[in-house]
Amino acid sequence: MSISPERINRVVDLLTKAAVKQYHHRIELSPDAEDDVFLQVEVGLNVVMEDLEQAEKQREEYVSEIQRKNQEIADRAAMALRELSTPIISVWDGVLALPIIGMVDTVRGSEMMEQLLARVASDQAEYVVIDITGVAVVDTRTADSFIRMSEAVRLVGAQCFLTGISPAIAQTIAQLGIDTSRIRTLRRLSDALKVVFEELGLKAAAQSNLSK
Amino acid sequence: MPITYEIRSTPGGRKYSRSAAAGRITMDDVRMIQDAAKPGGPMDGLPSLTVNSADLAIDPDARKAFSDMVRDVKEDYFSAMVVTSAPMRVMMGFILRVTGRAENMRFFNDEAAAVEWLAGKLGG
Repeated sequence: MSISPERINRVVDLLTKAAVKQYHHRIELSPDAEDDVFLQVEVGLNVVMEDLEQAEKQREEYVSEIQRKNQEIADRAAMALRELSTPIISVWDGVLALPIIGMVDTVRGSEMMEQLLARVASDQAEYVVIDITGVAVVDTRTADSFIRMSEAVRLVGAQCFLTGISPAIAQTIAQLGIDTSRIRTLRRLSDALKVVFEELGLKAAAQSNLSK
Repeated sequence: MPITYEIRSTPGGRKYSRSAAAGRITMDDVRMIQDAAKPGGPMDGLPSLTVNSADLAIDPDARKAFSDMVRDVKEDYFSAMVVTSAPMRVMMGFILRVTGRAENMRFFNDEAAAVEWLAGKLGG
């Protein structure tokens, strides 16, 4: 039995396509093709290509599904991290505390400000204490973001305290050369809360006196 | 549906299922045949004659399922397949060869010869 060079070339061509993952190719076989032994090779290759095409399609679907799930997990993790990185605590009616821990870059700084201002508005907070005891490393940009956060809180009608300022941070803030006179700074978070409660107590006493 | 079936009788009155397949066969078609061949189904226990059109193509999953079905048939099950296309005959041959159950299955070029063979195997 002799096989024509054209038929052999078609098989070689198909194997070449398979080598570069072009599994959608087939050997064109007419229904009235010559029924010889080589036809089994040709049909067999078509069957293998069909199976490879289906397997590749399924693999791509799996990969795409895994990528979608990974993205969902990453999105949820990022959301959880954002929430954890801005732990705004309502310590009293109208009093919010934001203890900041870790590094604060531009993105985290702007997210913190956005969330804090939204919370001040939603809680109708009168006082906000931003505590930066847990911030070890600062650069001028980080220090600037604390100042801007305090200013922004003041602009939306609440009083802001900045506490836990380390000597290093104080130096950095001083280097910025901006006016910090309108920002109330205290050593510790508890000091600020004490002042806040005293002021609230005074207000309550004043209201009580007025109602008498 | 790419596969349709009916129950017919040989000249001697032996019943067999006659299926006609055309186009692309998918798993849906296989399930339909599996249901019909279940115990109590219209094709249950009947020998079969399948007429395959020249344009027949079988999805990989369906090919595997057919192969599994053939592997599970009884020893005395007879099946005649009319296949006019040589490539399709080769393909069917692959399915049968892998099952090791090809001895009671034959390919034919025309339906009359297939019915004659089936009748001979069934004793009329």
